[in-house]
Amino acid sequence: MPEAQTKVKILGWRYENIRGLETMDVNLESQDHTPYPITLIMMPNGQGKTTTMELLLAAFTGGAEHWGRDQVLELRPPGSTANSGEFQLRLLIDGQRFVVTLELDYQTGSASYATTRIDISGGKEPGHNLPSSLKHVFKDQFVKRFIFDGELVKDILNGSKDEAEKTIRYLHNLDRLEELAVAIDHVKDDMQRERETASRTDRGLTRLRNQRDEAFGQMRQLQTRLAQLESQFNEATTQLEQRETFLQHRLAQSEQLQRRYEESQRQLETVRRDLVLKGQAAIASFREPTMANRLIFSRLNQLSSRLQRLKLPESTSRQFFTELAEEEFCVCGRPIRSTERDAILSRAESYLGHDEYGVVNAIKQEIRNSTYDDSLTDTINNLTELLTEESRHLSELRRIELEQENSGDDDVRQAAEERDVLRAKLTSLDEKIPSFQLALKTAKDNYESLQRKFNEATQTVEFIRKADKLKDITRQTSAAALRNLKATIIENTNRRIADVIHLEKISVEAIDGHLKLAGKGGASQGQSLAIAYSFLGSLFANSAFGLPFVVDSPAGPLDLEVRHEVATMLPGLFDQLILLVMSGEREAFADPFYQLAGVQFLTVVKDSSGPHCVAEIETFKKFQGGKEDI
Amino acid sequence: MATGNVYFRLPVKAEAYFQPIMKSSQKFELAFDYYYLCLLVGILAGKLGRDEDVKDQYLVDSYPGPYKTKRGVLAGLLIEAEMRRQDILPQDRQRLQQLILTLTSHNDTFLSEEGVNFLNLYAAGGMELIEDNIPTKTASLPTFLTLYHQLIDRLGAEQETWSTE
Repeated sequence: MPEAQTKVKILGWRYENIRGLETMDVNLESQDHTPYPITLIMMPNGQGKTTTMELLLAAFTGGAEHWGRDQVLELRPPGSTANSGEFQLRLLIDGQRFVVTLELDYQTGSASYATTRIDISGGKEPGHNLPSSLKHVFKDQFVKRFIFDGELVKDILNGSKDEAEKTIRYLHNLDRLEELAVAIDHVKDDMQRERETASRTDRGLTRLRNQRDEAFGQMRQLQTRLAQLESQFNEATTQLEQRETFLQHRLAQSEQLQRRYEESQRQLETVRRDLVLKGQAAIASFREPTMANRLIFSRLNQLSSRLQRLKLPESTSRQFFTELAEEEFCVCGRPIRSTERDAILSRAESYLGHDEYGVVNAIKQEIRNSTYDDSLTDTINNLTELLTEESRHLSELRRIELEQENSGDDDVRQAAEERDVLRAKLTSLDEKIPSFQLALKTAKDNYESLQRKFNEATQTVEFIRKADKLKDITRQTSAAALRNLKATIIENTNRRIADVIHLEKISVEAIDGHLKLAGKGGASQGQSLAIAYSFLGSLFANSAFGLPFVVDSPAGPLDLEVRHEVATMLPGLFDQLILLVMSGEREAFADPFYQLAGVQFLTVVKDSSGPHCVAEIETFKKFQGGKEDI
Repeated sequence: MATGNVYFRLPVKAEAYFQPIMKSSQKFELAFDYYYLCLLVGILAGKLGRDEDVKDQYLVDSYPGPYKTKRGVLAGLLIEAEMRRQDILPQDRQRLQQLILTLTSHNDTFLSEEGVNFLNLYAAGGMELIEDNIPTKTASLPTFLTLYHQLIDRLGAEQETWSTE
């Protein structure tokens, strides 16, 4: 856990003239200024759960000031004549109490804030005045990761979504580095626009700008198309993995087939390992030019003998003649005049200099040291045999799959058909994607070249160079931080998973947009949620902030048998946990909480006096939420 | 010893051709490996590509690791290939010396700018031969290596027959 973690706790909140909740207080304190570690709030659907999440989000972010009239008026209780309403959030930040009041003016349809810093100034001040260390990080996307919609948890393991990576980015503020990169682009654009305006009459500049913009458009189109194809590829890969896991699972039920399948797979893996080794050996041989082919070897030897026969390199070097040209008399005693001098210097050029002499000798020496034998042919023959074996094992595996499909039921046949369709789709995408990648690379080169020309024309080259360098550093920092964070988070997540899933060894292998599990085994629905919550818990533990975790419908998407599993693990993951549940979610989910100390059970009950909050476990256990709760 | 202005440039088609292999789990360790395999075939067959078959962007400006110790043999191969292409007779000492002066230089690669340009053109020529003779792009490095070995063997045999006819 980071040493300087800013700790934020929710002490409670109060609604006044809010639709579905009227005027009511929710108190989370077990004693003064200390909240219960866990609070379960039973709140029927349609009676303010979504509104509560929305108000909590707005109280943390300060974003309600931008709400439209309709959004504000939607919060007014139906039929109410009240002119105003409010939502008060009571917080404990590093031991100091804060009250954020979201004031809703139902006459003008506007929202504003007031903040009371009880332990600092005591009085109520206008504005959203949380400590500055928090104010700039409590952005919408950040707060949504701890004022959390339970339905989103599924996306953390979904191969076609990148929720896991986004959460890391937001909770660790890496998105702010991206914002910096965008800000740098804006400064660049402003600078260029300024220069461009200064030379508005230059038609060449306008043409260049148009060409650049067009190239940028093409590049963006290709980027979008490529992203679509890659997303389709990832989605199909995930689906294929699911079908293969299912089929393998069914195969495991037929023991004899499974044994044959495993044996073939084992042999295939051995062959593939040998293929890697022999492939490396073949490349090592190919890298010796004379070992690659006998003719190459003999031609080089002929060259070496030829150089030998012709006495090349010549021992008389170019330097001898250039020095001779500077003398008054030739070695033969005749005088050297300007005509002779020019002739000597000109012909000296066709002699090798000292340096070239050394180079040719080194070439001859290397050729003399080179050899040829049949080892590459032997290695290639081995490779061919291994490839035949690989193909034999693959056929055997396909045959077993087919046997299984033919003896299996409709589910198996359907999964097998879908698997084949997905395999074909992946092959087709695999062929298509490289051509788009190449086209994108060309378009990017073209755009960059036009951008360079444009920079030169607007005389902003040096500025742009420095701005781009700063952008590179920003991106590299962001990438390095993400890499390091991922490694730490994977380690901590796996430790937490091991604590909650005892029967099977399940671990996160990588975070690639989503969480990727080691092996192809997959996980049950309950396990998936346990993994996702373990991930969230690890993120919170490593964040610079100790935050409460508020979840709407934590057990909503779960089957009964897995609710218990998730409920058992949740308490250990967060310092303060607030669960908004419906009575329909209580079954199997609430039981583990009844056994724990330090858990508060609240029920929002509506009677003739309006809605109010009952802090009794028995009411919580018995409460039925009515038809809207189904 | 100077590095000199030598720029090894891939054939234009090489990246697309070798991409399936480079995306697979067992791939070439270096992009220079497939540059070199193209070169070997081009030199063996004496086939020069055209300037437009060579990429503008360069791959490396000196031999990478395992090829550093092969610089003499590779320069020798180029001299020998150019002797054949330019029909320099075995006894023509002056033309051979001139050829050596043109193609070599005292630097890390033993090659002059012109020498490495010829190397790039031979690699582009080799790429065409590979594409013509191993037309199905494979993602399996072992499969490619066996097919490549067949190709280089066949080319070697054809060249020998041709030179003895």
